Amino acid sequence: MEFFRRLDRVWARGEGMLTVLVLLSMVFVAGFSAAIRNLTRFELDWAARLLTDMEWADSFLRKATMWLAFLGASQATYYRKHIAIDVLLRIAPLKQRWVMHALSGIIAGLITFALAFSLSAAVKLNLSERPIEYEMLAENGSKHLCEGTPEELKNLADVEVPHIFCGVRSTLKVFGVTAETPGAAFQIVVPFMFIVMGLRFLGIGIGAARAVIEGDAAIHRLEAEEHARLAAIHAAVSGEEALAMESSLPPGSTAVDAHRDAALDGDEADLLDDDDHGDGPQRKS
Amino acid sequence: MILIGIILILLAFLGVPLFALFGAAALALFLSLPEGTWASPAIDMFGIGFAEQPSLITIPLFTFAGYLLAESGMPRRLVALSRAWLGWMPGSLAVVCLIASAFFTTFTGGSGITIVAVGGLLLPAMLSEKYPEKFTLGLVTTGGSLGILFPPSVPLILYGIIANLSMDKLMVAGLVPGTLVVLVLAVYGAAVGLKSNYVKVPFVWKDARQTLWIIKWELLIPVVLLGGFGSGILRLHEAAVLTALYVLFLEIVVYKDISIRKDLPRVVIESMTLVGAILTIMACAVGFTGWLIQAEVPQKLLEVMQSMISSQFLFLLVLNIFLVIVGMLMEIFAAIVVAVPLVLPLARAYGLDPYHFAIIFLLNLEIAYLMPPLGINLFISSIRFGRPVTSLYGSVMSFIAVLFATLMLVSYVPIISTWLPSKVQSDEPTAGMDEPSGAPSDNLDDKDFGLTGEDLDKLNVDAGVDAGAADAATPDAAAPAAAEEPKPLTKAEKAKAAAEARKAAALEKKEAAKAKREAAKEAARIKREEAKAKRDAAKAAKTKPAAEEEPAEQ
Repeated sequence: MEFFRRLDRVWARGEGMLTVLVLLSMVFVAGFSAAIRNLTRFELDWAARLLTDMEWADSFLRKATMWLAFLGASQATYYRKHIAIDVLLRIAPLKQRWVMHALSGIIAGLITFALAFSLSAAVKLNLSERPIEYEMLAENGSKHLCEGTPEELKNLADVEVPHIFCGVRSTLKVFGVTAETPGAAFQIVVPFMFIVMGLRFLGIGIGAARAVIEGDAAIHRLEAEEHARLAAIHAAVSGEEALAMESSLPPGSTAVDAHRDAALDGDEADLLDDDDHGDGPQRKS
Repeated sequence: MILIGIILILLAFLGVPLFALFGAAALALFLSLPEGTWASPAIDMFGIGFAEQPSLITIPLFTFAGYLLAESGMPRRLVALSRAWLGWMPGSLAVVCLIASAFFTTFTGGSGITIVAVGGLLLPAMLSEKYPEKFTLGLVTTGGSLGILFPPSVPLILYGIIANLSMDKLMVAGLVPGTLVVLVLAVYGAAVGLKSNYVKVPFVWKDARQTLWIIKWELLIPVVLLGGFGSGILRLHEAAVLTALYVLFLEIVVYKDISIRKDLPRVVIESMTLVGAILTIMACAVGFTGWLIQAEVPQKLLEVMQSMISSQFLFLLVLNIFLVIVGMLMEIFAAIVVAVPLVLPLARAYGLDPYHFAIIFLLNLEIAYLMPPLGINLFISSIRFGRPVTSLYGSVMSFIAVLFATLMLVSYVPIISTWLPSKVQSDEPTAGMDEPSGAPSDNLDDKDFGLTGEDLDKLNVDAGVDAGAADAATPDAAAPAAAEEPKPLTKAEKAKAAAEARKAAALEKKEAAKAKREAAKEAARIKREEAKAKRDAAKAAKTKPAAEEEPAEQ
């Protein structure tokens, strides 16, 4: 169990880094292309040329938004920030609340897996459509530009082989996925993140179920872990340092509590301990 | 179908995340169709309904900028500024709290950060100035949702996407009602402040100048945003990027409140977690919306409503109560995604202006945030300030009364919310929503589509605009009816036609998707060729050795 927990934490940190990378590159790409677009108003030649070279920017921004959405969704699972109706969770007594967590976690996990399957079917469909610009005629019918031999390519005037995409394409082929278009290749992240989310939900559900079966002590331990997690979120909002601490210490350890109490001012630490309003999984905002 | 609905509602109360439930609903629907495949519910998610939606990118950008601001020293600076300028007024701290809250909620979309950042700063100060505790708690709790009517709040943008409205108009629609709400609350706050034993801060020009000087760059944020977007120089997502870049630069380089290594990653993760939670719901709801239309739910709802309620007056009243309950139970983003497609046809049928309706909708949700017993702000305040939730019920009641009075005013005096949007439209040559008679709603989408040049009517997309058959069916049903029939019938006809078209489209889902991709492919090819030609032309113009370039031209 501890192994999975550590894996979850490391994975979340990886997701976090990727999120930072994607968001910042999005901000800079969008800022740059907006600047260029507005410069073309002054009928600058070089700006017009840059703008045509930046054609990929819009498509990139959309794909990046999609990545952010689902990277964020996966982390929302980790930080228990998915939006749910938590009316009953707020008023349920401790034990019943964890029974609900167990049930909702397992059910959400199963549904998320079904969604991942559905999404992967859709992505597979999108991947199989070969866009016309990647189509080339060969002796035995048409084939993908990436598969063209140097001789064949030499005969084609004005064709730029998308080398980066071809690299990605052959990498994906190793995993048995044939990607005909880069646009759809970006979509693979969506079903993948849903699988990650599904695993996390199942983890929450199974963990809660085990605690419920084991008895009150286990439930209290789990409750403390959730508080530590909440403290990390809370601290991130109020400007204290706790995320680093949260990821460097095993959750639920007394060290976390001590560390958190030190990081937050007295009041906040107290009320985090005292509050009892369903701040387990699926808290709203 | 009903059984599925009941199971899903039960699961919702169990605490299963809403995105999973919407996804499950879409799966259940499409798999029950004879032609449905596993791919069908998800394929829409990668289309115009979600992934290809142009305004989507603004949501992460604005949220990021808002979180950065909340994390920086700006709340402190803003409070210091307002104190120096308004401190001489009775109830000045209450007014300061309202202004600061409105500002932060605008950028963070009422996600609870405002209560933590602004409330946490002002509650102790107000209590030390002998404001009644009950009033003060109510005030900071109300502040947590105050700014959602102002651009560029995420609820506003999300509403615009779901209801498919012109962003240009929607962005300004909330300005007057939003200001009205803040003003009304400010008057109330000042009145209470007058009675309390408040400490007067005399107006000192030096302090006023100093605080203004310190915060000057941050005060320019709305100017940068609204100036860029409002003047038409920047597109909405460009304005969003500019805001994000500007805030990033300010807080890292100018004010040095945010450290790149220590704070930035945390703020990014924090804000994107919220964005992920919102957008996943939206993505999964694309299929669910399709289900609602397939099951003709909006149309049935309309029939029931029309058999019971005849006047717009009564409709608005029922609507307001319904929305407050939905908002209280559901959380604003989910409420927008689910309730807008349901109630928008009703609003149209009862002849409400879409921008007026947008403001009513959002103002209701603003109230729902603090509605006892379950409004989310109550719980955030309870956690942040360590008071039992039940003790907050009494605190917010007077604020709810004030807000509700404002809501009534906004509901029954449409000009408050429609005046500015109509101005925006009159500036633009293609505009035209001015014909008051006829079927405004039918035309509106087309015109708004023309205006923004980016959105397709969501309903039409769902009804299968991509499928050739549906393309013809919708205008056929709507256009002749629009000319003569009274509005409600027109809408009913249209809803029915759309639903039927949806069925047809669902059956031809695969072909439709294929055709769409084919068209996109073709468009991409043409675009590439054009770009190529343009590039070559540019090269030629630069008088480079032409001989090399010519053969490339095809």
